[in-house]
Amino acid sequence: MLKEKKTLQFLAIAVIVVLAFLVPAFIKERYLLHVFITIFYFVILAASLLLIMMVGQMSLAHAGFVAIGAYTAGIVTRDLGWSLWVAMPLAGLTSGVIGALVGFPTLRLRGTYFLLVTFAFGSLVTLFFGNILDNVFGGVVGFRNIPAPTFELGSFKVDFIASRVPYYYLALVLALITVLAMYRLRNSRLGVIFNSIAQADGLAEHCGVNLMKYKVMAFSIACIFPGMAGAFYAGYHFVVFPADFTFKESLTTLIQMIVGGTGSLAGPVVGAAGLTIVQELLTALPYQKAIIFGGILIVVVMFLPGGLVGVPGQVVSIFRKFRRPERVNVETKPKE
Amino acid sequence: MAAYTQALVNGIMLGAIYVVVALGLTLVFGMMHIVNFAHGEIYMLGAFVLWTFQVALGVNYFLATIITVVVLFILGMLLELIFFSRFPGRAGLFKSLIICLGLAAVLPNTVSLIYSPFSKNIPSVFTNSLQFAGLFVPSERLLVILFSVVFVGGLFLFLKRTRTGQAMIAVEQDGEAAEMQGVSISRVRLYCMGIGAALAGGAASFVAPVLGASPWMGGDMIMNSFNIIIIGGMGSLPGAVLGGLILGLAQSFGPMWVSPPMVNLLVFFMIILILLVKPTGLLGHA
Amino acid sequence: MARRRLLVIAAAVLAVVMVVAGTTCTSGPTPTPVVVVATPTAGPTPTTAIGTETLLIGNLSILSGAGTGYGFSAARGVERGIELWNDAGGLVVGGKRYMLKIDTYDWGYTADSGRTAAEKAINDGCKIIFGVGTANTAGAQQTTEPNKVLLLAQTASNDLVTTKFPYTFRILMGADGLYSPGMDYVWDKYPDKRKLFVTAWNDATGKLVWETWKPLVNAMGWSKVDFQYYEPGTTDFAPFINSYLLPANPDVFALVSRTGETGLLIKAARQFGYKGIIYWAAGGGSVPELQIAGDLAEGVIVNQEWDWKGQFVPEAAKPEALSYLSRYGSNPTVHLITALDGLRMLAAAMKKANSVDTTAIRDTLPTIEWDSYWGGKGKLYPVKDRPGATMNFGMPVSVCDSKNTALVNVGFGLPPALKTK
Repeated sequence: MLKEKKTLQFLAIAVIVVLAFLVPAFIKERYLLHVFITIFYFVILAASLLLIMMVGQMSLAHAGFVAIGAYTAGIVTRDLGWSLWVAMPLAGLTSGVIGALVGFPTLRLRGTYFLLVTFAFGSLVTLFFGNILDNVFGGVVGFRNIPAPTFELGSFKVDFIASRVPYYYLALVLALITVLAMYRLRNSRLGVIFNSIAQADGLAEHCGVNLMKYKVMAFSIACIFPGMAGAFYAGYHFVVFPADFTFKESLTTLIQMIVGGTGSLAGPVVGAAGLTIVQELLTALPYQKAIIFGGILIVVVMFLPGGLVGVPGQVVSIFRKFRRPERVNVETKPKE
Repeated sequence: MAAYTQALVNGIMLGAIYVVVALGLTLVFGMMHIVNFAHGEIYMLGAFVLWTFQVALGVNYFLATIITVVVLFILGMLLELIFFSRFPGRAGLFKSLIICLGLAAVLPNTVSLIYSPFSKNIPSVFTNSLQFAGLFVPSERLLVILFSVVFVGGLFLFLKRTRTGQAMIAVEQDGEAAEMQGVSISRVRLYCMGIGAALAGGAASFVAPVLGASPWMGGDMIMNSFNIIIIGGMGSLPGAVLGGLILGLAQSFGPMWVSPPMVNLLVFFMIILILLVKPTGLLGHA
Repeated sequence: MARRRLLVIAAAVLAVVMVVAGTTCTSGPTPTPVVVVATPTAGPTPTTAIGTETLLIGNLSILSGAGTGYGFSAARGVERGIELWNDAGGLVVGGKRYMLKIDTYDWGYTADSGRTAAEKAINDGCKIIFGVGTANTAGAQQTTEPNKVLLLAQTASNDLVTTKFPYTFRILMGADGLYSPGMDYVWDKYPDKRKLFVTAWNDATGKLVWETWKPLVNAMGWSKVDFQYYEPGTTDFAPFINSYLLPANPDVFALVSRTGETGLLIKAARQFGYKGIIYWAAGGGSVPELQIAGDLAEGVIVNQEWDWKGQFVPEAAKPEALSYLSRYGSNPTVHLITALDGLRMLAAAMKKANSVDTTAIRDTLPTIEWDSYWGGKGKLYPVKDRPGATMNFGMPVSVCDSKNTALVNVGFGLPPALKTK
């Protein structure tokens, strides 16, 4: 039974991935491709943020790490003239190392304290790029004229300017790598340790787990991915403004992850996709957009306890209640 | 020298504003484990309630202030009843956080649609500046300090001297133990949220005549308030007072040595340094 | 339960009171939809059966967050311009009648959101986009330029209308032209005041604006010019005034500052003992702003803001500004009229090019003249090495009256490009 369910799940994921690869064959509109690219970009951020949550912490510095990656990639491609394919791992590495440096002293803090340190750090990063070394980072007026990526393999050449399809595949591959990496992590020995830290860190410590080591490791790994997303951002937008990476952008990622559901890896993916689509649909109501979006957040949290991924389960349970009314009396007592 | 004295006076005035807003935030966090990102917007609503009564309906300023505090108290209780009571304790931290973020998106944009996006003026009771020995002290800012002292004093008295206040402190220290002693947690939460919002409304009603009422005023205030409670220690009431004064003085003295954008940067740098030395903030406890 | 119900009822009553107070006192800023008559009786009625086509016009503006002060005026300007266009029966170009349809998006205040909104508008089929702001314009250009979409931007920066962006035109003056008329007025009126202090806000827009204006200010010949950025979002300016303005002790304090912050700057400057002249260069949406300072705003010289009923206001602009005032209850900023003028410019270019193709319009734009809302013939002026990239018009200068914070127009300055003639 369980095995059957697993194969079914695997099949469903495989179908979705194949479909994702086929999208550009059917959709030609630049804007729709842009929406997909935005979704993949947010999937990278939200999925990697879940790793931090796995060790029982939460970060509001994710956008700050995107900025670190974006500026690294900008300097490497524009000022050093290297390719984006070198810049992207470099950006991830820089971001990961800075993540470790930040995490090492601050991960002693728990829960909300750590949340607020990362809030302070994220704000510090934005202010840093806006006000320090203007001749290197461009200051508040932005880091501009970042070159478009190029790709050449013999006679095979990809034009990143004429079409958006190459960007689509680049973003899709990055998102898949992120999700796959997170999946492998969750199901590895490391994942079990991370989980034990989140569940009961005191117990884990007694069992000989070096808490700090694993927390820093999780945080640092989780920071590599926003760094790479930042490199993608730089190569896609060609301009980078510090104002694009304020803690509000970190909140966007946090919202996507929680609204999607934090129980499984599917949560951040669904949350990133769902809320990006909602945001895009709401542009039709420019004067009321922010109000409706806020309202949707409240409604989701109030009425969908398992997040967006919990919706099918919720529907099934309602359906069951109708089927077997005699069980209602027993089961509807609230747990709390 | 006069410039430094002036900076000291300015810093205290600025700190007085921060303290009252941050007290509400830290109270709600300490007792209810809600990271209230909507606190700034509640503060903003306070300013518009004041404007509605004082300017649109022509009520006397001091009476309008009292009305604002009462209205915001009720609003806070409503928020608890409708939203936050569903997500109690640390387990509901992230859910209540999203609720707050939703409110933070809804409230300012709704107010901007109803009241126009521009700032609104609320006439001050006193418009003159006192002058002595080269110092300028605007009277309306003196009133801010006075109000601030009354609010902070009132809050501490309430917590020390009343049964409800003692119950709130008991819940803050150990919720389960308090419940076993017969304290109704849901009731304490209700008062706590109400008082938190009333403090924000009170702060708004004495800040708005000095700084105006704008739909976007909450966003700036919430940043400063978070900085304050990080410095002072989350959930610590004396910490909020200390943190507010530190931030007020830092923002007042800072520009004398470095440019204004650098002041912000240094404030965040200072926060991170403080947290590295004392992770729970200056007066906080784990 | 009863108490709970009472609370809810009390809250509902209060909400109603607040909404009513808010809407009656500002006479409702919510956009009221205007019925567009399909076959206008006043305008020229189509006599022969020529095909009618609808052009979609993108209207990207700042409609949420702190930039809305300018955003609303600009967005409603485009809305109104399109209304007028259609009321006149559209425009006949190349044997076809073109009506306009509006496509409004909130594009926020960042490059990222600017680009997303532009993508969306282009996807909807917009070939012509109106936009307000600097960072968001820079973001949008990444997609409008390769798509050959005309971007008629209201940005004060010169960097965004260079030869690198051939499809971007500016329907505002650059900061150099925009902020100078009032400065010249101050210079002429107070010949003995020659010490200047300037402040601008520290973000992409503020910095680009100041860097565009700076050379002109320095060339005027002040005996001393001090400058300091302030951080956007500041509410208490006492530290700023105490640390920078008072030690510099200038004769003239020039503000390149946003709505939401200027009133507080003026108030703090006066409260802490600054006695000199205050000149607000970027005075869009200033009346509510000056009210914040109340009596302390006495005699502040405001550039780029008008008493629409007073003297010097161009006759063509007057009725539109006044109808905005009565419709939305707030004084429109300069962005309203520039948006309206932008649509007139567009009509003239389409007519002369005899095409709605954006490349044809782009090539025609520098060569045309149109009846401007600013009076006389409108014309595009060069920016750096690019001919015909920006509008350039005269600006009234107002002085603020102390009693009820009313504006009184006292002068009309000419932009530098017109002055040399």
